[in-house]
Amino acid sequence: MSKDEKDFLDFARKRLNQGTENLDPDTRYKLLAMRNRALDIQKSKNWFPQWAPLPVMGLLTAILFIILVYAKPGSVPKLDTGLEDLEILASVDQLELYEDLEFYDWLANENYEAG
Amino acid sequence: MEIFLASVERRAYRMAEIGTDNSDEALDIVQEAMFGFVRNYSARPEEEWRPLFFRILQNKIRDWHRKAKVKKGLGLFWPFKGTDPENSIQELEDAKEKNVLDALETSDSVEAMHMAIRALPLRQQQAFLLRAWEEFSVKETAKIMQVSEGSVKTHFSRAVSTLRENLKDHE
Repeated sequence: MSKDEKDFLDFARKRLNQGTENLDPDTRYKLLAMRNRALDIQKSKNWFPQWAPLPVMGLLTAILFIILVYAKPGSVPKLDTGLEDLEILASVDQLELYEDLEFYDWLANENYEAG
Repeated sequence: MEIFLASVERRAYRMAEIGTDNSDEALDIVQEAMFGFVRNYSARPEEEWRPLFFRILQNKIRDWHRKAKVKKGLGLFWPFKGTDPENSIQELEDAKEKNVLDALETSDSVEAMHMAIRALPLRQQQAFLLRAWEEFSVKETAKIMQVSEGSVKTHFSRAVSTLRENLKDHE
């Protein structure tokens, strides 16, 4: 490379650098905004690896398939919630009846033998 | 990554602006280049970032030219004059047809430099900006432009010769 050519390239480089230093504020603001958006993309990319969507989608599809095939309406067994037992326990009168059940049984037998 | 993007964004914008002669299109191109770069190459070693980023940018500028040519071709059958790309490419070609030296006489040396580079064919613009401004080697420039090293040397040599001739009053 000749000296003239080298001088010209230095001149060109300086002018081009000046051209970037003198950018208007609006353009500089827009460049800053797009840089920030690019950094957001990078952050979200780091949080959710690029290969992740495939296995995640596969898993979700498998779960959906299992639900659709096996979970027919009405096939879910009723859970024993214990509400019936609760009703019995809550009824004080009935509880006394159950406690005196032997007495009533004896009374019934006495009446039967006497009668 | 932030430091890297901050270090290249203005030069990238200026390259795109010279390549398209349209500041809005240039901003779009830089944005696409930034997003494409962080999506696909941010995990690569840092020493590879600069050539990769400029490769994406130059590809985007070339794509813009291809689309503009297609739109211009379609525009021949359309009676209304289009807005951005059609006008930009038309203005670019008009500028080339004009005597660049006449235009340069009235502008300062920074604007004169931009105008003179803008008047070059796209490949010469790219070779000149990558070699002279970004100071990439011939080999790196060839990779970025996806052409042979011989082709880079030819484009660069022609660009320097034309620019020296057109800018001799501004040196």
